[in-house]
Amino acid sequence: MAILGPTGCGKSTLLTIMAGLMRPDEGRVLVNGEDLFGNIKALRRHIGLLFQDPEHQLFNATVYDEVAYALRTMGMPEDEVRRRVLRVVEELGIRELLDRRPFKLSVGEKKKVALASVLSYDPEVLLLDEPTANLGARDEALIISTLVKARRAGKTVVMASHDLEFVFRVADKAYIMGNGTIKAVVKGEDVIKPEVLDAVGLTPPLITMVAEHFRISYEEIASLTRVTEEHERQEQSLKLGTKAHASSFDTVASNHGDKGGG
Amino acid sequence: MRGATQAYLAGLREVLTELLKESGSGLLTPYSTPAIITVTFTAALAPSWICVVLPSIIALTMLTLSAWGSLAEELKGAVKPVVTVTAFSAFVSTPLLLSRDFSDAAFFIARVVASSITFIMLVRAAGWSRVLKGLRYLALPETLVLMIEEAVRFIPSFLGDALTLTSAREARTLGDSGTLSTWRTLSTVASELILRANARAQKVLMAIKSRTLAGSGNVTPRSGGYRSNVSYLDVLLYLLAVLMVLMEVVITAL
Repeated sequence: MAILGPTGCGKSTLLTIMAGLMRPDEGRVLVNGEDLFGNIKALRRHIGLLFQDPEHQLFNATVYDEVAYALRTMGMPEDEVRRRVLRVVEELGIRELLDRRPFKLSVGEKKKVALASVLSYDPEVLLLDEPTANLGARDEALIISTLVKARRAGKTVVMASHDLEFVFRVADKAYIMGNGTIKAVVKGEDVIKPEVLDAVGLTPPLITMVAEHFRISYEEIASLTRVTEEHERQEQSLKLGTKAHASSFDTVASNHGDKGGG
Repeated sequence: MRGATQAYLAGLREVLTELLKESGSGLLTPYSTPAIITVTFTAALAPSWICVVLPSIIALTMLTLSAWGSLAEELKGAVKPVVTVTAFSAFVSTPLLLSRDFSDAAFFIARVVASSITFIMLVRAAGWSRVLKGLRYLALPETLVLMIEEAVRFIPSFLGDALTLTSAREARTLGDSGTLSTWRTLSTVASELILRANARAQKVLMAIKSRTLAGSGNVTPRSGGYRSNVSYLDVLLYLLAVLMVLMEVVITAL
């Protein structure tokens, strides 16, 4: 699910409230029917917030300590902490950063470390504030793959973004905000349609202009670019196919080895 | 001048960040927190020179034992913070040498320095997060524990802001680069820093809160969450702390 809107419309504030870090002036936040602020200590473990600016999220001496922080506050044994930290950093491809100072990393690296520090304790609800801001294409692909994995694992992912193309690619549903209120709720694949954008006063992204210029239907663009369940399944089967191919190659190679000594 | 200011800020940030490095061994558990505080107090309130020195030796022993696998690295990492804090403590207490009896003042300065060294080495041996968890075990109010944690973690972030701000000012100062101009630049940075400090402190607090999962009841598959077991090193530290207290009581009584 995505929260869309121009800068300053209240997306980050909403996520901060949803994470239980700020109390709303009015209204309540319910998690599975339970008031968030009534049982914040127990519920916080189920919520992970990725800050918009990773500089604000990182406060430890090393990347390892940063990723291990939440686990240590839980009082987890150090060998278990290490196991979990290594699993997450391998997943995000940042193992070589473990001994580095967080403040000396690039923005993209900081973002990945901040994400690792949240994923390490495996929260059921992921709140991501501008997850792709200042990231290159490769890091963005990594974020998408992480979101897909989280979705497959049955987690709730809420992201605030003003990146319409990113939202179009990954979100099932989008809440469009303006001046602190929800202006519209639309399907993920509809967020680049000019009529939707006009209605909520957002500037069309490049993909919309390309579609208009070349008269490509939005359904066609969606089928090409959206990361859907079907797309995931195809990618998964492709990976499995590659693995199966590789293992059969290994078998052939080892047979050769048996026969001819390499 | 500006270069020196930036080097100083960067160096100080590095040292204070090093101070926050957690122990990976976990051999001193959160239960050691009261013993850490006790040993530090025995250095601060030492009645004799031997009681000034002993807590530092205890702390060094604990650091050595807790970091057995990576001793050289741990000791190397501890040197900078210890030297810096020692220098600061000695520097701020030095005026006492002029205002009081020399031996009294020297003894006071030694106690200040020894307690700083003891605390740094013991916290490094246990790790900040375990010390803070220990404070929670002692049923200290959560707000107080968060305040302590924020104070510790805020300073390196604040120094980072100071560094960024001075660099930004320097990059855009194109006119006179004399001493007066430098001081003018630094003074404007200082006022802006004060304004930014509040915002930064709030961000750090939010970041800490968002990942502080202590007290979440259903943290683990087992009910009650993870609980640390008291380690042999905890027991040893408690024994040494009790011995130190007894020794000081006896010396004071005599």
